[in-house]
Amino acid sequence: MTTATVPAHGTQGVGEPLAQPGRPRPRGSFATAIRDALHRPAILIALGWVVLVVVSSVLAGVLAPHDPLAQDLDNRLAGPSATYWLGTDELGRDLLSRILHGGGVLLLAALIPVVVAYLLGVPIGMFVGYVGGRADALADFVVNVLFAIPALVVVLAVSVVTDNNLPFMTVVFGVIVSGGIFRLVRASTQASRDLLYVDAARVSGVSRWTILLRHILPNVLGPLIVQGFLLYSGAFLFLTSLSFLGLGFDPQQPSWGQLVFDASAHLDDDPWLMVPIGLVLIATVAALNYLGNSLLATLPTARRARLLTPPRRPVLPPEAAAGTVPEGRRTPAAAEPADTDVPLVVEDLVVSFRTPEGGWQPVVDGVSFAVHRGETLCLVGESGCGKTMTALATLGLLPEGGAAAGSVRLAGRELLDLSEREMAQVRGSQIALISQEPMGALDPCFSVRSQLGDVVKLHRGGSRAEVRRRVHELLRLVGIPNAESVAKSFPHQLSGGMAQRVCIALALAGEPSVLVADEPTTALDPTIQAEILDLLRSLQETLGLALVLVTHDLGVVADIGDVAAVMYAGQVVELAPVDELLAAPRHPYSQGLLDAMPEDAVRGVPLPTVAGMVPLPKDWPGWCRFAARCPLAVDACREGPVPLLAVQADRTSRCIRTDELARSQELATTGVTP
Amino acid sequence: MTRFVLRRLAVAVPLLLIVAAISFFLVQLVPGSPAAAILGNTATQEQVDTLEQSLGLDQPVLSQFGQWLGHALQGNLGASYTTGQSVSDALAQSVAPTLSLAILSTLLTLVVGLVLGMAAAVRGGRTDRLVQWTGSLGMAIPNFWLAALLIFVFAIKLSLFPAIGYAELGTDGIGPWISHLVLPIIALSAVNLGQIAFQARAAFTDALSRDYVRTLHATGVPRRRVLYKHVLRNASVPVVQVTGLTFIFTLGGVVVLELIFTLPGMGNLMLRSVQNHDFSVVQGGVLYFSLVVVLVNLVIDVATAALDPRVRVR
Repeated sequence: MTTATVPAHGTQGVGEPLAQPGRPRPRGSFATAIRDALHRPAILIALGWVVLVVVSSVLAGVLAPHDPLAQDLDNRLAGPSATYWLGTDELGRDLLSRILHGGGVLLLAALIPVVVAYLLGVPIGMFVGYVGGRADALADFVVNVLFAIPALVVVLAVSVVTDNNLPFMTVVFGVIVSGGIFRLVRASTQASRDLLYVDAARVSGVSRWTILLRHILPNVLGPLIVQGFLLYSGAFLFLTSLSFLGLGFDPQQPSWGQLVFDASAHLDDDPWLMVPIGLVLIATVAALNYLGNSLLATLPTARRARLLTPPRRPVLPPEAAAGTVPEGRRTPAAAEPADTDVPLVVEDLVVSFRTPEGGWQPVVDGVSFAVHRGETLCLVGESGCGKTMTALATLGLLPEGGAAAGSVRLAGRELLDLSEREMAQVRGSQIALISQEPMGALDPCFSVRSQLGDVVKLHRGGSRAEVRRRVHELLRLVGIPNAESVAKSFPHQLSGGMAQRVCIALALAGEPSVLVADEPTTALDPTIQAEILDLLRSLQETLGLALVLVTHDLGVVADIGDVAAVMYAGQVVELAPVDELLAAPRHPYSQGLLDAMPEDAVRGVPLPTVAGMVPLPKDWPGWCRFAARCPLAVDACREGPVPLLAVQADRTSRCIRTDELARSQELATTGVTP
Repeated sequence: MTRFVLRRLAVAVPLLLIVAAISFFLVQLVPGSPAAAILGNTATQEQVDTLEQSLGLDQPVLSQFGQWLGHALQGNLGASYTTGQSVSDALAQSVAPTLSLAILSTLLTLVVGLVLGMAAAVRGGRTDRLVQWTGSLGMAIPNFWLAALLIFVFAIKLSLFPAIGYAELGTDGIGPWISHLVLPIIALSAVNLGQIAFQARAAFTDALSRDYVRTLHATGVPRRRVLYKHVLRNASVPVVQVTGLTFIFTLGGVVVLELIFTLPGMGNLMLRSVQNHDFSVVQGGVLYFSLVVVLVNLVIDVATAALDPRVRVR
């Protein structure tokens, strides 16, 4: 017996490549998804079988070649023949006719539990989810009771009490399984209860039931249909079990479970009896399950990329390794590879992801930079510019489907050529990562001491006492005074700021020389943000770390950065010392970001923004990628790819209009409007 | 942890009381008198009255319930209406085959389902498709039909295992005991295995995409340790929970399979009593089965709490 209390993600995502790394896959509406599904042959076969079964059950009286009860005692247990296509049973009754007649009541009766579960689960779930409080607690308790009731055993008891009354038994089964529908509706109602449009409807005085029906029900309709389908298939299997046990169904009339029971008595002298009925049952349940699971797969889900590294690191094929901009490559490296003062050098880095069509889509396109000891390099830009992918590529931690080419040298050693096993030894001990969401970055099942201790042990070894001492030392290093009690905590017991400190301690445990921080303060409160930045700065000074910091916030750059690499659409568009960049940006995109800083906002004047959006990688033009949003763009900007041009000794910009930009800045500071 | 277990027990007790009440009052729904149902159509009113009196059925319903509950708490569920045997004794004698089958099958599906789901989620590609197809097939085969097939192949044709019957673990030893259970366990596990493997696949897919996987990698923890220590533990939490939810359906399967394999368990006892209109045994049986469900769910709650500290505070 199968139940549908928890959606099984059956056929979902089989071999489907990810459209966008790390982002939810865009999905059409439920209706379009169903229309698409109807074009798949497997779905049509399953649907065709179900229709065939239903139609032939309805028309059994016409289709059946014999009376299902007519006995032919001369032809008992006969094999298939011209008269009896599927053979006969122990009383010489025609098997085919019995199968045709034996499904109708089952298929029909299996609808009853579904209807009952809907009638109970939907209104109660909506009401209780909406009002909450005691009604919610009570309903929850009742559902817990239902989940503790062994369905078949209770239905057995009901059968003796009601003298084998099938409708009554199916209603009871429906009540028992209604808990699944109830929970689904309640969760969805709770989720949409506080949405803005529901609030608006409430304020405008629309009645409670109108709100529930008009605003909340449509949200849950898709999952409800799917759940109902899986429930039906479960109820069908349940009822065939009852029929097998000889309960609920008229023993005089054939029914599918009972046919299996009859056949099982003749396993030794006529095993053939098992075959036709078995195939019919299996095909029917399989078709119902397949349809249900395919429906389930049409529901919108956020499928995230796997983050476990593959055993072998993927390599970009040569044609993809060049990225999209062959000219202007080989940007001058900032330092000699073996220079110990420059621990991290990235050159012409290309990161690509596999497309559904089997090709490669670059998302980082020829990025180069170098970070000195004790220096902070900021990767700045809006979301979707490739900052995070650049950062992750340096550690060899791209999500599933991604691969990197170019050069990432750590203390002179080429990291992109290392195997996964060699790379694992580099991670933590030479280069480490601090990620954006500190709560999600810690394994919820292990205590801080256990996670931190594991890493300490991995890198330095030592006795339990030594490891424990080092754990406390690390926690104090990241500014946690009550190290003992924090060490004992589990991640869910920590605040966001505390969790981020623990993450920093984790990153420092192997004493790396390079620290990559991916938006380390974005998920935190503003006051905590400043504390964490202070901590990073002081750690960097005392430990002499090279820090790569990914951020979209120029305020953070101004606060902590030494060098800034402004990224746009997978490329570095401006590379400059931070104070010079802030004083006089040499790329219109940098200027736009600077203008949009809330720190410079004038009261009453709307905050300027860079109009438009970062283009998706597949929409990158073959010329300046910022041209579409650039106030200074001219025809020359759309003639071809723009290389990184030196504007000063230590500054480069991917713009041919830097002079124009400088002139407009001068005008702005002198206050003369052109 | 102790507090967590106590809290769960505190929820389990009222739950059991309610189930007890349901199983008692269910019988009160019988149209007409149970005594008449037991005696059949040919009985005279006088015979019915006498039987009612001797069974205590002439008392008011609430006082019957109080009496029954009081006795039930002392482990006395009354006597069988048909055989006169003590219901508690009858159930106690038949509990071993039922529990052996249900628990062994649950453990088997949990372990194999986790392995299959993990392989599907981690390896993807062909392994994934293979697991999904076999899982879907397993879920589509009715357990009673699979049982017949297994008997035909492994008992009748190959004579590897006995077709029917049961051997006591205590008196007959572990060999005969397990050999009588192999076929029923396989038949019972097929459906659940697909279910659990799909859940495990979803749970592993989810756990593999969590940020801590990246953190662990970034600190230098090798791939295998990330997988077998961290991802495995996180993914098993929802899988173990779902195993609890499907256990009530496993028990339903046990009833069916006891009939086919003629195991002297609670399911067969229930079926016999249902046919004989033996209400007191049916009542006791429902209570026993519910007790098993509640206890198993308690064990599962404790197991998930041991795996995941977040569960402990709930």
